[in-house]
Amino acid sequence: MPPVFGRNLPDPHPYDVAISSMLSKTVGERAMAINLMSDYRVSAERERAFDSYVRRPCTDFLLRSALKDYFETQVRPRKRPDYVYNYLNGNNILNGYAYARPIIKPDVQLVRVLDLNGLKHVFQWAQTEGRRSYPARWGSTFDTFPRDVANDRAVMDFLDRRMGRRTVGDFVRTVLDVLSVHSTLEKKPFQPTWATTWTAFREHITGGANRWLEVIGISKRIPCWLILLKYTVREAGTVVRPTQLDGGWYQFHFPSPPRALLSRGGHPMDLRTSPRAVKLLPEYIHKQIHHPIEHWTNITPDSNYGRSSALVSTSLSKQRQAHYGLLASTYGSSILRWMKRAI
Amino acid sequence: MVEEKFPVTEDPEARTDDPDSEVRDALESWLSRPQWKLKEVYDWLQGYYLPPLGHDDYPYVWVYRGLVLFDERGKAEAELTSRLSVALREKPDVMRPGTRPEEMLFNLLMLCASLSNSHLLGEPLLKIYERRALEGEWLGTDLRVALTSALISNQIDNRLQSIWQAMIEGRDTDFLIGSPKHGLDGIALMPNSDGEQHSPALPELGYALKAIARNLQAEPERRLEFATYVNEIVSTYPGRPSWAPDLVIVADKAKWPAWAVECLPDLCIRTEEEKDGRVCYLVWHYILACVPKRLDYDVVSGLCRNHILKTFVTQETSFFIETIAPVIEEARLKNPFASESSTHGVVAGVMTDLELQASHLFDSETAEELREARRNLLDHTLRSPNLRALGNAIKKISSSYELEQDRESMVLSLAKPLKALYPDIDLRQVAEKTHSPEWIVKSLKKAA
Repeated sequence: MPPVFGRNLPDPHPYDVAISSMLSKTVGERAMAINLMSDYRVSAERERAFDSYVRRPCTDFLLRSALKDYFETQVRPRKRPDYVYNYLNGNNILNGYAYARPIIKPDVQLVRVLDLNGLKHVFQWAQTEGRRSYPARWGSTFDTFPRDVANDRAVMDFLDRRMGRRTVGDFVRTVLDVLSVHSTLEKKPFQPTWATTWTAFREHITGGANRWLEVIGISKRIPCWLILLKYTVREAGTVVRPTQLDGGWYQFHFPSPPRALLSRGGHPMDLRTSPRAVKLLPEYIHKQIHHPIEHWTNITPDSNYGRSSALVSTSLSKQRQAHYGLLASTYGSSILRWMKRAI
Repeated sequence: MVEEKFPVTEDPEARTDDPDSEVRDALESWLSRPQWKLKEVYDWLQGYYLPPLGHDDYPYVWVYRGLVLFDERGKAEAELTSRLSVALREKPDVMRPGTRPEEMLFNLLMLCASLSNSHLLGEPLLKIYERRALEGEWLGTDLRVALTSALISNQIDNRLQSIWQAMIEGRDTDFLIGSPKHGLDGIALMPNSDGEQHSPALPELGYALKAIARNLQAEPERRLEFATYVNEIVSTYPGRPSWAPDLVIVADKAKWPAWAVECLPDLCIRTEEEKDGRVCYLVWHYILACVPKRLDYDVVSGLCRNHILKTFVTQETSFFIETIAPVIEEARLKNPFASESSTHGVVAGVMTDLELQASHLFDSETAEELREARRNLLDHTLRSPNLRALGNAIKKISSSYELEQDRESMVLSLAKPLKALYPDIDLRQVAEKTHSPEWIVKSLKKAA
């Protein structure tokens, strides 16, 4: 029977039936099944924490429900999400580990790609409750934010108006302030924050917003506005190598192989398949932090924001195969023992 | 071979890679089954049936994206709405079903807002409002914000009007939470006084937009912002032929400020009315100022404090107006600046362009008259004194005198040269603009 989280015990595993069922379904579910089988980074302790959300007998529906429930309960809304706990996730913690030297130098610079279209819930809050709790703090910035956020075009129209050359600086400053107030003063965090290193990402900046999303493995089906934020590992606090449990029910995540050094974190799957990526980027997560405007302005003006134009995703199978090939060429054929095939 | 351990689909690539389509397929399969359970509704609203797309978007957004891809969308939407209606009648605000009731309720209410079907959803949503039992938040948003959204889109009558007005004016309401935008949406989607769902409640909209204009008064981007509000309302009832005159009339009745009137989408409106073979226009005074004197027109009344003039014109004049108006209108709508003087500048700029083209488009006489009109406009602009600054100066200088008699004579002596330089100046306005004390108002009246 298939391994689960890279371990062959117990055998049989309670998730065997569910995973086998997922393997016979859509490409996305197959990808998820393979990730769950191979992601050895999920420790036995964390597996136990996750398992408390899995109802028995475990079917594919219950397994996917558990992934969602675990993510929505123990990761996303938590001030201290599961991934920062040493007893649950110590094997993935790089910096912020008590009694140990930080694995990566705290001065190393990270970069995150912040999708403004994904901040609908924050803008909605700023327009209503935020406006009442912090009167005049954000002026009329969010007054015209659409009431129905299912209307992608209306959300984009709102952002197009705000992200014009004349107003972009003020708007980004306001957005970062709203994010900060929302997560810290209002205690409504939104975890995790995904990041890579600035040195690895820098060469892709000129590729434009579509390329930014591709290299960090984010598939967006609609155009969106993105901003780049650069900061140090020190500012990020506890920096962690991500697992599938931190991505939740997300098919574009790809686990990193056992030979990959912890210091390199994970590796986002480059969504561009032609030409194929030739280098792996590091991938980290950390808790949501306060971003002062300097995190944005310390990147060359005009190259620190952009509008992606269309669907980045092509074929998940091809993307996974390309990434698998790149992992094999980087870490050797031993990855075949870890993950038998990409899809 | 290791690969053989894996159950392989016949052709994985043949399966769709488009997440929206995957959602549609799953939704289609569920909606086509006549037997369904409430738990399935709750599971959909908590995202359990969605493909592995991550957690950035709300489940209801994915459901809606899937729904719009249906071949028979109307039928599917009606079925989904009816299932949501059943879920609403089960008092979910009290029973709080689902693994995460907050997430379920948030998505339920927001999906009701998107579906906008007052016939099926109006009553059960009002019941939730009347019970006042809804509490909690999802991802930081109070569930009452979601209920507000759902109620806005599913109004059966105008009973919530006072709540929408309170939101527009920034006042608290007893239970619902919303911004001025929510309030305006509430008024915009409210059935009119005849109970019609397909027509807007125009008088209420006029007053609502006036309140919005008041909120935006000090904003540097007020013109663009206000135009966005107006355009959104217009696009809510598309194809309504009477939108343009209706908006002018509600602006007039509600006494909008001039800058707000100048944000309306159309200020050169040819109406159905005719008199003695002349056609009727509701036209911005600046457009009329460009009409050469030899072309005949007859202004019969003024609207919006004479910014819009009801005018009967000959066919020749109509041709001229229709030729120049689009150019002026385009410049007006693109003006991003807040001040009144920016309007003067914008119009003067367009007049220059028209003047340059006039000799080709019309004749030299018309070109000369356009030039004259532009001169008049600029002359008027340059010769218009800054009433607020003058008022403040008068207040400051005269207040430095202790005796009332001295103060009064000082005001009179200051007003005298003003009257000489600007014969049309309204000295009462000088006092009004600066909220001057009564004795200054009296003295200025005397001088006037």
